[in-house]
Amino acid sequence: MLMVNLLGLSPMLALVTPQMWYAVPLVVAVSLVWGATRHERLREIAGHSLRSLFWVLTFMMVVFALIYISGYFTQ
Amino acid sequence: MTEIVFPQDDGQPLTVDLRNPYLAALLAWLIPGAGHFYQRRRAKGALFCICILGTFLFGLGLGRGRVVYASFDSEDFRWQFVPQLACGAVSFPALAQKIVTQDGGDPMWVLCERFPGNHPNSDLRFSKITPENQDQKRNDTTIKDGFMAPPAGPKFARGNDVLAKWHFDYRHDFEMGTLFTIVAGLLNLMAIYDAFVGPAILTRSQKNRLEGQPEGS
Repeated sequence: MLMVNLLGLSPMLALVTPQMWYAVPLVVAVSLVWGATRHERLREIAGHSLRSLFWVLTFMMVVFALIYISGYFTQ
Repeated sequence: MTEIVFPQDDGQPLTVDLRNPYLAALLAWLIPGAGHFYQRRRAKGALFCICILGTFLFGLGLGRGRVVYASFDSEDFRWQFVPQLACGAVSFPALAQKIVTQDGGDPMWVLCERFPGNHPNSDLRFSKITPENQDQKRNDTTIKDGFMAPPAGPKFARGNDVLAKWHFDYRHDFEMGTLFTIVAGLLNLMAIYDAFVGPAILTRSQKNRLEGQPEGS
């Protein structure tokens, strides 16, 4: 459920700040290469990459949301 | 020939033939994925090649061919080139451009020309020469931007110069291009390591040990 909510939130955040889209190819490439250095079989690489992708996006969105919300208090 | 056998959870041991790991690591550095192709690990080789070269070339494109350059002057110490060099042969043109331009020579593969820094019109100094403003040229002296060449002309730590113009013209694309090419280099370090010693596979007992569970559970 959390993953669905975060994936639904990401396009919204990207609309707010279009530069966020630059993160997508970078995070995908990093997740795939990270997964590939931990496994040899493609199925396991794909699973590990998906989990990494989820955690990296989660971390980025939490940080983004904190910074974005803090902007309201510094105006 | 170096062969590693990994015990797997399903009972089928996984064998990885690293062949000559030193040669594989060298190939992996020169062309991302090439070391794995040499070891006949073709799927991983293709994955590394697409991800790492794709990231590097995307970044280079974002920075209009200017974000990967070798410059070690005190006014412009390009430390970013060190991780970019980890991508191997694709960053070698920057070294060639450094050698060609270090004595004030023109770069190879000229991308555009700029007004010199002493142009009487201060707004045009270091600006790109376009069909609209080329009548403002006072003489044949111009500054040339080269593909993967360091910024030409006088350099100032604080003030207008060609590097400042690149940042101004390409805005966040210049930063993003630099970031993408750096990350590609760092990713290739992981691929080189994988070609040299094989994948960092954790067995079930190692996972249990890390998670603090008793062996065999």
